[in-house]
Amino acid sequence: MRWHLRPPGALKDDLAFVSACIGCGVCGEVCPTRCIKFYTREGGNRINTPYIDPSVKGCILCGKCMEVCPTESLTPTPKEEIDMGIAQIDRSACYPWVDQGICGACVAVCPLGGKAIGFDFANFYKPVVKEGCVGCGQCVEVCPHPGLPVWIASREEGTIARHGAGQRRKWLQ
Amino acid sequence: MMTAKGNFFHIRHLNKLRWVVLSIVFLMLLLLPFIYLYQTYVAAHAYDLLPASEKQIYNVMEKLTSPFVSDPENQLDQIKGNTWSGTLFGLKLSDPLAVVSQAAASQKFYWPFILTGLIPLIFTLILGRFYCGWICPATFLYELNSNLAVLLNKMGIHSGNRRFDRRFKYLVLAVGVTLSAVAGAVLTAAIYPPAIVGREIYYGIAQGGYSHVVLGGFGAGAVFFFTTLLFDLFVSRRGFCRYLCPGGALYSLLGRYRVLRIQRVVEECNDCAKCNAVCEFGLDPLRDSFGQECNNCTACIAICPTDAFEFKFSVKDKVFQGPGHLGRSYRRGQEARLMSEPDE
Repeated sequence: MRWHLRPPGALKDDLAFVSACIGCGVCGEVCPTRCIKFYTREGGNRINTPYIDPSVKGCILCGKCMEVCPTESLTPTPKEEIDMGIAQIDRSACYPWVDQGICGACVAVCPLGGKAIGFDFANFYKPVVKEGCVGCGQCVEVCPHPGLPVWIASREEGTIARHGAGQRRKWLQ
Repeated sequence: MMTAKGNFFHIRHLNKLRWVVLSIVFLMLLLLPFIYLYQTYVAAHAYDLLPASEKQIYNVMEKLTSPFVSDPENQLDQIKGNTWSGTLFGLKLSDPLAVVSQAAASQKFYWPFILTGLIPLIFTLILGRFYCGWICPATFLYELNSNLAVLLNKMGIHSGNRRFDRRFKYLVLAVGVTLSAVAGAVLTAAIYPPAIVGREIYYGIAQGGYSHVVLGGFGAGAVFFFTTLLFDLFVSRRGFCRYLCPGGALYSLLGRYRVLRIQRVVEECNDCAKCNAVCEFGLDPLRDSFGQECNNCTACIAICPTDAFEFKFSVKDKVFQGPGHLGRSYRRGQEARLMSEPDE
């Protein structure tokens, strides 16, 4: 199963989301970045429900999908209260954190500005995720590292990846 | 009603109007994904970076939409979606089957969504199964498929015309809704042709699967739909709609006491039975038997050589009125009656 996020404003419980979504595809049809994709056969009973793969395209939090959704599966939510997850940074891979150069792409691209991600004090270009992150995944899209040391995890897993790739593999399942 | 002969608004032209409506709905389903692509190009402000093929889409769509909108990125959001669920100038409309299945799957009533099915519901209560004949994008393809069957027959390839029990589709509806409730997912969407057609056209044009390729190809639903086309062609004419479609079943149930229905004018009928031959749903207009299955498609009206059909406000079909008064059997009956009766 691919690593996926639900579009913004999605019901927290994924089973509830699947049962509320009728698979009309209208959320995808208004998404200006074409980030919303739909599960096909490989999605099992999630077939025709929307997902976002931030490694391909992150959400820009424009909110059109929430407005247009006829069901409760995507409910209109203010930008700051959206909870698609939280960005998590693997400090053993991120270029600035391992002193492999300067980057800061994730901080520059963040649509929420300083509320969601910033630089560690006095450690230039070492990104640190803050509580205001809503998990839109634009940092993941922009990250130049092929292994994507930044990705979106569920909120309770925190903003620092503790077990590196192993933790991520768990999230993938 | 509109029955006067020689009138431009003759009732028999309704069938042409129906084809116009069906074509518009289908063409909109084809057009909307391209409009969506155009909107994304506009939103990205990156015309110069597009490959030539996408530039072409951009140019054509710009030409088509520029007379109507000044801000394509937002104004073109007015018409979105498909017949399964969509938004039309701010008004959200959903298929009643979507409402029923979603309520079953999520096991609660979410009123904003249920209300989106209200307008289609009211129309169905008045006009019966009209959706199946007038709007359904799958009907557009299924009726063309029926015409293909005629063509094949002329070429000597025999299409199937088996008949099954029409009530089977109510079983499909019941099982589909029950399974949706059990599985907690709207499963009827997977076997409901209009939903499949709308979705697959959108997937095929604008989704491109995972690879972000425009015109990326169709999914599993297209295979299913193609199978139903073959079923209709070689097993039973319009078989899916007649015997299997869960939406058709729901609409038939809702339209059982429809207010507006087609009725035969027995005085004008000559028993030619063309109406029975043309009826896509295999009904029996010649014997006044329309029933809840009739979708008011008006094909029988269009083909009737003596204009023996009319729309009437009534919640019931007429009981069989006997042979048509212009037909031979009625005339013989009259003669026999005259012979047997003593001189008057």
